[in-house]
Amino acid sequence: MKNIKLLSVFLIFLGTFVQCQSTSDHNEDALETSITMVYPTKVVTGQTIFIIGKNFNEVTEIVLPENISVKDFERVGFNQLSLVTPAGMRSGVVTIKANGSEYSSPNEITAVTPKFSTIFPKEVKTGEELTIKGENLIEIQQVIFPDNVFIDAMHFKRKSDTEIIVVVPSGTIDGEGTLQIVALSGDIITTSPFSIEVTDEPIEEGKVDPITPNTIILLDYEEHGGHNGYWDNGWGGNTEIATDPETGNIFLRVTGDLNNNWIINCNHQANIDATWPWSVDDVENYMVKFDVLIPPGVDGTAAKGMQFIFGDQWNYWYGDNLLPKTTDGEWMTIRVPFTHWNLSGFLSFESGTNGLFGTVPAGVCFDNLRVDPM
Amino acid sequence: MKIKHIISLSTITLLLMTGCVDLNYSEVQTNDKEWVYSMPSAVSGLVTNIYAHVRYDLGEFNGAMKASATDESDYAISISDIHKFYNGGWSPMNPFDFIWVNNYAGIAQANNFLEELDNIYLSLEQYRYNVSVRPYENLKKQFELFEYEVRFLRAYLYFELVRTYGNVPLVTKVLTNEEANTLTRTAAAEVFKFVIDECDAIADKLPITYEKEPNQDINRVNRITVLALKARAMLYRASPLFNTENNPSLWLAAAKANKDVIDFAPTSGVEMGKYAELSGEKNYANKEVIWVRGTGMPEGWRMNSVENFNFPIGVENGESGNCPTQSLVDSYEYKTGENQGKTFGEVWPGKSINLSASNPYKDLDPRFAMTVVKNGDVWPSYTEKEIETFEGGANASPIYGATTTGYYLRKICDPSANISTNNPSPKRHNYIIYRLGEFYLNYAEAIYHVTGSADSKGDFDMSANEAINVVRSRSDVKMPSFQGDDPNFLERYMRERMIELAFEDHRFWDVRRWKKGDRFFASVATANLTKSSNEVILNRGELVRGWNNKYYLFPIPFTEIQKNKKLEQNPGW
Repeated sequence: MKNIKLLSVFLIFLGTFVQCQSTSDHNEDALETSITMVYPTKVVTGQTIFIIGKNFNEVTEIVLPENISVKDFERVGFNQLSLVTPAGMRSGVVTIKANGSEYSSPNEITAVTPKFSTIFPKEVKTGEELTIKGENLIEIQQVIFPDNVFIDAMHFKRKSDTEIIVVVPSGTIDGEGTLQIVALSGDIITTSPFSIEVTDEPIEEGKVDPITPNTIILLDYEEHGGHNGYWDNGWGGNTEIATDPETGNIFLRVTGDLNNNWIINCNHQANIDATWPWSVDDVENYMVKFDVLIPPGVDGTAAKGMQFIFGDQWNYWYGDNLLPKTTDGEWMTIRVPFTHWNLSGFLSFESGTNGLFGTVPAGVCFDNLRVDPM
Repeated sequence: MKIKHIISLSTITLLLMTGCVDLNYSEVQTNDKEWVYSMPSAVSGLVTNIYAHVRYDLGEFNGAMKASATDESDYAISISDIHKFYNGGWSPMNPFDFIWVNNYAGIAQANNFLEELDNIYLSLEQYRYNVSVRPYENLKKQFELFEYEVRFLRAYLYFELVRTYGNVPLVTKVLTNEEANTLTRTAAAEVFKFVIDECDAIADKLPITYEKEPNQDINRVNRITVLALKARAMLYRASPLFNTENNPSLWLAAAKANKDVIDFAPTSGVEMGKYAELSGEKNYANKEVIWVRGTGMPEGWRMNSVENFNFPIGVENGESGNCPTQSLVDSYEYKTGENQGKTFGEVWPGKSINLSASNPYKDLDPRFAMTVVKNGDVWPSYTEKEIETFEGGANASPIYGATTTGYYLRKICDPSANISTNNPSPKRHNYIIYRLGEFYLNYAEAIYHVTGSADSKGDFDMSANEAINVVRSRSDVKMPSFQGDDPNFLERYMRERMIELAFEDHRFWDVRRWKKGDRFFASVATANLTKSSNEVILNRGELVRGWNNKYYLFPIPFTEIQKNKKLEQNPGW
């Protein structure tokens, strides 16, 4: 009895292996042309559709619904054809022609067009998210804000068949406007109107911006012709000029809490080392920058009541939230566009003091006060 | 009941065997369709199963990493399969078919999922008014991304196949066994094109981040991950192994694709991080990381096999594992001092170095100490003991399994992991698949091939030197910049890439795509340390491995060719 059982098991396994060798008997069936599916099933003009099936070697023509013939298609690997759907697409089955025979898809494709339904919220600020609702939006390529500010699909926050989420860009208009939604076919859909409020750009967190040939350095704390740390120190007490032992970079460190006092006070570098242009003609296209390092454990938001001084002028109040809560002990660049103060035209930094005044906790480090093109 | 289970098991086993599972195309499932679609978690489980086919090399050959089949390291255990990559044990009969088997299985699952999309969306509708499951809207948001995640994963698996085998059958449907047995290999160029086209088609349909998604499963594919796959695929496509006619437009496309990753990084919250934080339990949180693969089951994320395999012999439960070579150490440059800019190998070319009279490791690139453990280092720190790699030392020959190179591995090991039997502290391990640093290097390589100059930016806004300097200037490395139009730029670049990406499963593939196997892999340098009269001497040694050009591509497994005579073997195998 035991042997019979073992024999049965052996025979089953033998059968298994025999099947592994039996490849040629079924090749004819395997080589018969057929379509398994067409994908995707909802199609907009200009979209690539894939015809999945087998034995497509002899296919010479694809016929879309309403007898639209396509001979310019692509073969992909063993079992796939792809084509870009032309204008005038209709719903129905897809047929392929090979060796005088026709083979139809088991599923139908549905020709659709993108539709807009609503937009919300109706009032948004720059930097906030805006949601566009509709149908068949998955292949939308671009959203255009008023004043021709383009957002490509790669920069949509999210895209699906029924909604698109974008961040309202700076540079668009302040006031009421509409969006233009660009479909894959190039058709443009216009949304209902909504209201935009332009706000100051949020201060981006990120790495340190490079010093470029276009940068106007106001104070970098390095020694320039005898103009050294003695002169560059903050003059408000509780600051020191420090050197990074690894890089040799010189910067300013706040050693004790500074309360409503000078942080950066430079009234010499401009005069001594004036090899750069010390003024700009179109300040609206510039921003002031400085690098800051907030050590772990120090709260950068404790920096309050900050104001900039340029060319001895105390007209550049900023207030709170100039510094982030933390920079994780790394240097990062703080950027404030001069448009923050509604400035335009000529501005000089040539003479007198350029600097920063306010309340800053101990430990925070500053470097490279500068002006850069936007 | 028991018998029932046994019969079920036998049936499944038989089905698996009966299918011959040519290329692993099989619809064999332990659950039928209706069961799968009866619950959303099962549908998401199908996707999770495909994710599970994303491989990771934290020691995929019983502890040995592919790094040990390169000049990065040598595996200390002599009977490890990894040695077959160069000792003649590699053949179509012993083909290292893990990529073929795993990836085609994943592709079959992906094809199956995509063929059932309509059913999947239909099944979703039955939950529209069902309050017993998660809110429909949340479920829908998750489901509508599955299609693109699965297409990405399929493309990712195909990329791995094409870089491994060259031409491979490109299939996007579920096959019958008969169909599978008629497959031919698709040209590598076409497979690359498929991967790249898929990336182009799906990138904008995946979210930038999952922070606001209702289902914040970790490690899911996002937009920059798709750009990363495309960029890496473009680089390989442009490289000599696949760009046999040295078509310059492929290098230009590679530069563009890799620059796209760099430019998109800020939008994704990706930025250069600290090198030291590429290792350790929290490396997934390093902002440089684009895509990471967690290891183990969710409830068992923590494990110490990486440390077990790689902590030195002589440390309780340590097995020595992947030991960095002197070839790797020779590649590190000096950061400061009189030898700044020169490599270890250039400064110490002689056969012997008296380590007691001088310290050749002083002032080396900080990445050396974050990658390699050398004689005298306290490692792992909980032992509070200095490593002894000199002959007769506590962690050295003649102990079986001791380092064969004079060094031990630090990178990828968690320094806070304790592997002792009585006081273990298991740590979570994550395998980094894509990180930003790689794409700066990829871009540097591509733009250099476009412009022929390390200082030129071509039509871009970054030169090869500038790209490399981003990598070298990270806060815990700060190596001197690459400057000028160095005629030996490519040599220096290859060294930089080896160092930066050491033990991250790049070298094995990079040297192949450069077609420089004979130069880099035919033999590797080692260090043999001796100690006498309190003097430790490093004597240079060599492990001759040999190289055969057929190694550039893996052999098609013999078993697959037996089943399908239309599958032609790769050259030389």
